[in-house]
Amino acid sequence: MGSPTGQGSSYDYSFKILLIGDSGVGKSSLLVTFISHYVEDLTPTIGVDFKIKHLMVGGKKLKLTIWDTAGQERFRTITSSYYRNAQGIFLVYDVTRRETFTNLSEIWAKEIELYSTNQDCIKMLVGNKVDKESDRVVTREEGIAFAQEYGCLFLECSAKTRANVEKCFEELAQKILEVPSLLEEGSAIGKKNILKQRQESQKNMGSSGSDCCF
Amino acid sequence: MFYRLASDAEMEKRRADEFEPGPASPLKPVDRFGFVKQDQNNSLEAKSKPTNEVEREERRIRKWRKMIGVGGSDWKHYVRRKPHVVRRRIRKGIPDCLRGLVWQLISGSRGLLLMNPGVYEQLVIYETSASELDIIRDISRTFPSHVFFQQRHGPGQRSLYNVLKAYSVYDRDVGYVQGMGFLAGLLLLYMSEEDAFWLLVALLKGAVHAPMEGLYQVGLPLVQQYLFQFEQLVKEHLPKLGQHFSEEMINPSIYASQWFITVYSYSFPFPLALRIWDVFLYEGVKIVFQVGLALLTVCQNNLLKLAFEKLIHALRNFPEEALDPEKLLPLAFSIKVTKRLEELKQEYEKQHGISLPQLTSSRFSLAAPSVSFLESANANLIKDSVVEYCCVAFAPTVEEVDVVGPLDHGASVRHSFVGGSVVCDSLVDVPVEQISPNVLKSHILLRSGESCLRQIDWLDDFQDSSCDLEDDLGVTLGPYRICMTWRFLVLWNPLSVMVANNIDANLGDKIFFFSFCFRLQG
Repeated sequence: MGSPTGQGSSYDYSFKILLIGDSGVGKSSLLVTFISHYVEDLTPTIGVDFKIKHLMVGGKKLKLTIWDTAGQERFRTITSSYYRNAQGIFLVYDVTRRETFTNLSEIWAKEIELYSTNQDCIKMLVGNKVDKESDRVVTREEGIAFAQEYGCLFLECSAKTRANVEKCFEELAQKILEVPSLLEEGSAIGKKNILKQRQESQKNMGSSGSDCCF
Repeated sequence: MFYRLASDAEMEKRRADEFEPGPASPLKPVDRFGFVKQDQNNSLEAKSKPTNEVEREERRIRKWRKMIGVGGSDWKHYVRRKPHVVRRRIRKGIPDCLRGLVWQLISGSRGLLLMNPGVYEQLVIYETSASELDIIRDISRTFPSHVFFQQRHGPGQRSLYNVLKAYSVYDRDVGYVQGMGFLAGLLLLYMSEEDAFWLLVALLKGAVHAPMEGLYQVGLPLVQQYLFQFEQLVKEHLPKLGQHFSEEMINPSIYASQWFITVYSYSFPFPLALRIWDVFLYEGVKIVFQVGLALLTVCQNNLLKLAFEKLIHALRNFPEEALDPEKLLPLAFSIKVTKRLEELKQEYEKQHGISLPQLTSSRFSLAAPSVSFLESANANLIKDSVVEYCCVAFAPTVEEVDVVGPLDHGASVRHSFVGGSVVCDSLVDVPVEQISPNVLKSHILLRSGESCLRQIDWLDDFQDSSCDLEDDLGVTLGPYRICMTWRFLVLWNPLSVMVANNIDANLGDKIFFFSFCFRLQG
């Protein structure tokens, strides 16, 4: 699938983003909508899925590596190892199902505490399915209150209508860019990958790598 | 998930479609398996078969019909007499029109169904499950591109719900786990709800092969074990790629979890998934490893060139040509894994402290299965908390042994902590006493101080001493071999009684059983 040293390496920063939340809240839909602008008939995520998206934020070329996790409790033994080194985490709930919201504080915030290795990691609370306004049970105010309590960004969106989907990712990325420690990690990871490829082909280190992480 | 490649126009159209799949349009073209075609040019099914191939297919079906007999009546007989032929034919693919029946025959689900009349109905109608909402949420997300499952609340979705709900009630420890829907969905395309349910039971509870329930239990213990085994196998069979994976920090949980959890039914082309299932139901889980290794082998040159992200992408999106069953499966069969799988399993268990406690000779007993024996064993079970039973059998022919797996490394001692008098009933006529217990005893006692995990070792020795046994029994055993098989090891599980009965009928006096019980320190 494509060459290893293709256009993929032309970015300033690379960030690892994680999507968590109950099963069926629309994590995969958000991601697929964000990546490919259309939603196919999605199947439940088994274990983890992974996608890459390049985007420009604040004049910087970013590469987001986004990990989409299975929401069902039983899969947490697999998904817990993917919290490592994430610079951004989306906590997703369904505004039409209250338990998906309460589980964020009951379960998912605790998972982050347990498994996230990154103190400065940016979290964003995302209320999905706002297109179903008449079925809504979690108010916007409740979302805001949660976000304040847990120190998260907050947005409501709809993967179905695509409302706010890109904004979610852009705002999260923007916030990461504002945190020096995360920024440093973001560039180090990128360099490390480039370095590895260059090393293999016995070439000199590229222009984008100056202070390497080895 | 199937044939994701779609034209731009198609994408546009689909974009406009609803999120949740609505009723299937009757005009949508489907492939021969009932999946809505997304790209007709690319479909493997698009090519029309030449006439000679059609004829070959018809000949094959005739052969299969003969082998099975009316309603499966000749099947057992045939399997016993020509296990190699059966295996070969299954590996070539079970004809689609007979698939449902053959799957039931080889999985042992038929027996379960006959043994448990009315049970399924009871589970569906009268019981309630804590997983009902979870199941409902996933119903429309299971095989969304198949016509049978597309119609909301249609017969496909209803049966899927019933089977999953029934299972979640039947086994409340497992309940419902995402991924099971794909197993059930696949089965429902070939059999009735009730048949699909019992096949699921046969698989998860281990009617024929090792039980799969560990794939879905809390902590997904069997997934963890399989991933460990697979990672080691990759390193051994494809050292360069294994090295590359380590450098790129790719571990199999990223790409292979769903291979095991859904036995390739989740995201692989349906024709390939079916062929894998044919073999999987007959030969067991090793085919999942073999296919995984074969896929990596085929794609190795490409994968070696890729760095982390593209590597992951490639491992989740294999090129279509790599997924051709006619090429992939022969390669898979040629990869030998059985022996290493067992060794790696033991290694894994040791590493993770799953190893069973020391066997104490004083508490060891050798016994023929009898009601009182089982009763006391069960009583002790409560006291000691860990008991290991095992049964050993002699099979009449080398082929028979081959069917159940190689013997040279002892294979799998299985334990099950559910006993019951029903088991004894099925063993009443078994001439246990014909087999000299002394032979067994001497070998077991010899080893009794060692770790239970190594208890299997004595079987190797025991095999060597089959001459002694011949003397003791006063019969010619000929090519008889000791085979430790599911058939006997699962006798302790009420589910498998039918299986045992079948064997009695099949093999009659040609097979010897004996069983004994290890009581381990709790």
